[in-house]
Amino acid sequence: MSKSFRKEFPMWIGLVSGVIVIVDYFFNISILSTLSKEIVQWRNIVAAFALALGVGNLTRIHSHAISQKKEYWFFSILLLVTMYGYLALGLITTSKSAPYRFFWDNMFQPLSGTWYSMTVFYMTSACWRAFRIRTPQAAVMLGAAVLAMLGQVGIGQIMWSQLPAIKNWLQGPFTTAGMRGITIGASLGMISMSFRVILGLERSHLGGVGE
Amino acid sequence: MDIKTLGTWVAAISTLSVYSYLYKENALFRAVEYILVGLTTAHLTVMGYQNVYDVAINPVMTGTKVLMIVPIILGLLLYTRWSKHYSWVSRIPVSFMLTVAAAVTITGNIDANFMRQVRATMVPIKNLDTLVVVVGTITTLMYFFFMKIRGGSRAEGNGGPLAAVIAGGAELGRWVMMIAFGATFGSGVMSRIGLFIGRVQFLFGDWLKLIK
Amino acid sequence: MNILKTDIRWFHAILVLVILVPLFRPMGLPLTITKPVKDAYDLVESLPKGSIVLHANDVAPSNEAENWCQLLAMVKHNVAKGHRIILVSTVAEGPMYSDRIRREIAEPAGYVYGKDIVVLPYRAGNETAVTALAEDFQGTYKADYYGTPSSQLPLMQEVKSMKDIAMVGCWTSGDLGLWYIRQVEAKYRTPTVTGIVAVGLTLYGPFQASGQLKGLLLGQAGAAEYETLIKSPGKGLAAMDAQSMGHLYMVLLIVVSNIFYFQAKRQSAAAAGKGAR
Repeated sequence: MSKSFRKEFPMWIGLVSGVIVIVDYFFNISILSTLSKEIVQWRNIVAAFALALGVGNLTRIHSHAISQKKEYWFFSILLLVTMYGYLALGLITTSKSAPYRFFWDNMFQPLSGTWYSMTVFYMTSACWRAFRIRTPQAAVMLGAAVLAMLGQVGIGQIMWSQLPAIKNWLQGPFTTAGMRGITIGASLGMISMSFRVILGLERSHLGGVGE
Repeated sequence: MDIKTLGTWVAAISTLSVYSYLYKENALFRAVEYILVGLTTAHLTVMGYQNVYDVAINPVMTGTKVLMIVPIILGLLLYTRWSKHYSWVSRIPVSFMLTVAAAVTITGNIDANFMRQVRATMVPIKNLDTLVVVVGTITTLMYFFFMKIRGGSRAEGNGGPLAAVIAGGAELGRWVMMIAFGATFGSGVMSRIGLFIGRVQFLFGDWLKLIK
Repeated sequence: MNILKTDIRWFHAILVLVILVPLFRPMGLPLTITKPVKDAYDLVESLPKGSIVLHANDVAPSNEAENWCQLLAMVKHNVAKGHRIILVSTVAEGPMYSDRIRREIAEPAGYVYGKDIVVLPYRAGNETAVTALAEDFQGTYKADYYGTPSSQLPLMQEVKSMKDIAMVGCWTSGDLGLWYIRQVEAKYRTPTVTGIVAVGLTLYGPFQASGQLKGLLLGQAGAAEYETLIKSPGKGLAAMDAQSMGHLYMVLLIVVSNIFYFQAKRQSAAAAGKGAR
């Protein structure tokens, strides 16, 4: 099949699907509505298939690392054993079984939660090393940050009773104003980018895999 | 030792293994890092499979909705990306997923993100709060929408009173955004500290039983 | 010694102490109830007994410390008011937490599974998953998380569309609330509240201000405020003293480091001036 067919055909599939969903939003046509609902359901099922891509990619990368005896190749064995072991456990016994839940509650959940909690130490590091008042804008930003930080906790209220009100004012009208402008601008950008994707003007997602 | 206590100890050791990185990188930290990646990927796949089985495979097998064979085929086509000769076929489901998501985004954005936000800004200015919201929103939009006019020179015809008004408005918008980002940073600190407190509550509460 | 170049691990150690001490010895610092949280509380209070509430539970280990406390507080409130609860999820971890709600909160309070509470399985697709459940709720969920067909669950039979839902609660660290605003609130005008991690103020603030969200719980403070309103202290409230000291510590780090920075800058400018002469 020609190179252009390999790019055009997927684009046409996408165009037809996308147009059906959009037209259904604006017009109340029974057959279109049914078709649109089916297309949305199908999209979710395809997205669920995509979740398994991670298994394939990790297997490819780490089996290569093991075969080449790259640095930390032993840990690659650990990763693959963990992944396939837990996968087998889940597929055979389902995610509701006691053994599956044991590993989820006592390994996955604490590891994942602890990983994200490490960001507090990076924040400590940033507060000590990175947040410098170099420009007037930085001064205003840090001033607002300090007022908001103290105003949202009890110690701030003890230091100055007006701090919570100031924090509410900063996190209310000012944040609404700043972020609403960004939200409106971003929504226009999202709408135009979405149209570009549907109409096939944006094709970066169609490249990179075979020609 | 009962299973609950064993589980708590496993969780505690996992937690402390991650925190050992704060002292310096070590083999235990690296091991749990790789274990976490394996567990996460496996869990996602298990839940994805259950999703696909419930909504697509089971209806096809029982004959209640044979049409579901279409998304099953599309989903399987995703895996052709690993084939040397047929990897282009995976573009079909990718294009399908992205365009349907784009269409859903458009239909949701027009009303919720755009029209109602604009409507919420067009309010009578009765007090300082509404003044800040209206003026702040408009000047923030000016900052992003009129970059070319702000950056232009007199020689290009972008000077003059109108350009000055726009430049002034955009500058005010910038200050409004700085205050908004600063206030948001304060919230970000609460998030990060909160995550850490959660783990400390587990270690010293559920594991060591030193705090209630 | 250049204090700005101190080994950062000392500051990490001080942070751990700063967080630990208030957890061991609570200080009883005051807590202000904010309007968005009070609005969420008032909405739940206004719903009659038997109302069906949909909780979109995207709690995961990464946001558990904030969103789990929020969701628990609101579900306790729903249970106290006799609301019926449906739990859905667009993240793979969500159903594991929904299962805990059934086991730890609902069933001990006398809720009957299938009649008063239903846990639905994970659905992939993010915003399109929300679109699917909004447009075709029964078609999206043919069975619950445990494999029981929806036709055997009385509560599922009562929900034909989002118009049958009295309130939606979204518990997330990401865009879930925005998806529900776009696909459910905008189309069906279902009252929606969101519990978001504290940093989500930027995303959700404008929607709270415009009235598209009827309530907003921000981070652990939001959870603590809600726990105070329902008079059921939990992990959110327990964490607030530690939050206070942690915040104070961060503020001190910023202020002190900038003082030393300006001092060092002045000294190097003076030294450069002397050298030039």
